[in-house]
Amino acid sequence: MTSRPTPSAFARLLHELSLCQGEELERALAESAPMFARLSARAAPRILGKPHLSPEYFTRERAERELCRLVERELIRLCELAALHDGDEEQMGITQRDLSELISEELDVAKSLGCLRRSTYQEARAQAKLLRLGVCDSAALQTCADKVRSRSTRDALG
Amino acid sequence: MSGENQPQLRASPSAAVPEPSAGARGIDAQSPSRERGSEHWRSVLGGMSPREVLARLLQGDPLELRQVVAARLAQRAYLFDADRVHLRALAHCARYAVRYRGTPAIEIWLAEIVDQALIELLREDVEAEKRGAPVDSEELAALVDLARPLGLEPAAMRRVCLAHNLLREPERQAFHGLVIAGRGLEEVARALGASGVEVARLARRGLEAVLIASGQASEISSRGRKPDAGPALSSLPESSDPNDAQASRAPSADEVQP
Repeated sequence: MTSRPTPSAFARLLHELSLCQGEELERALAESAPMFARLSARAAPRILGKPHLSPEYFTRERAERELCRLVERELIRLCELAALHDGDEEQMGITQRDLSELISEELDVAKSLGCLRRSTYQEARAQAKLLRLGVCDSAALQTCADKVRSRSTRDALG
Repeated sequence: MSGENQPQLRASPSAAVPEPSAGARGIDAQSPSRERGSEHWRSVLGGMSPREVLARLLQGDPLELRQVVAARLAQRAYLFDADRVHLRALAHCARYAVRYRGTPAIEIWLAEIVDQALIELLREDVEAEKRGAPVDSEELAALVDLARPLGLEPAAMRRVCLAHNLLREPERQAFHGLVIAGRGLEEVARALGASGVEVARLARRGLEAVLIASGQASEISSRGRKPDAGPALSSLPESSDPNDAQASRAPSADEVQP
């Protein structure tokens, strides 16, 4: 049975290696290979990503929550982009119409996932429609972003 | 709105964070599993809402995303909880599936998705470390397996992993190859096209980064060597502005060119 390295042994080894140089370091690293190999075996599933899909971790609920967060971050980004540049298409790098469509697309996904408050959803939808008409209400868009962020932060803390 | 008509929204990533797509095209597009993925992507990604796509992606990993996650973690030599990367990549994949039209090849698109997830998580870790936010308990559980044998506190592992992830790629490759992947010095040297001494020098910087981040580097300093373990957290950019945030969007199919 292979003896398990003790934590202190690894810490000491790393420390000693960090003090070596040149060929001395090369030799020390080569000699340390077996210990590193044992570390590698332990790290394989979660750190190296070797095939290991835990059904307990990859639940539909957790994955949908992650998708929600992605949509929320994107909504915040898009709303703040418009608010920061007051709808100036050149500075935003996108037309208001296209931005409106991107926001609407995110809202569609948010709706299907139920990850926004109804009032926030309706407000953001209204702002997207206004953007489509060439009207940028920066304050309202910033408020939308803040509301999404607030919910997102609360969920993360919860 | 179709992906074809989307404007280029992506800005340059922050200087502290590497480009997302470097090396993504180096993946093995000819492997049997990838070939099978190419045949099946339409049935997995096509014609459904993100929520439905997500449900399909969770049913037996039909696009073999886990393999892509493992490959990109190894190729980019990052230290992350692979489950966390996988989960983020799943969300990206589901969200942007509607924009994917088959170009570039599915394996390249998936690699870009994973790279984007890695960049996002790296940014989030930088921000979390600057805020002093506690490590998520699930992530902590993933890092225990790495922290314990290294003799480090699990709670310090996010900082340690971050310090490693912010190293230059050759330094990450050397440390990752030798210490984490457990490959021999000669093998790592061959892979990096460097001499054994050069790989050892690169790996030592990785070791120093780990020790400094974990607070075990006092003796290095006391012996007169100046620790130089990559970018200090204090030198990282402040919270991202909206322009910087433009880079956080997953690449649409149209933006990913082989």
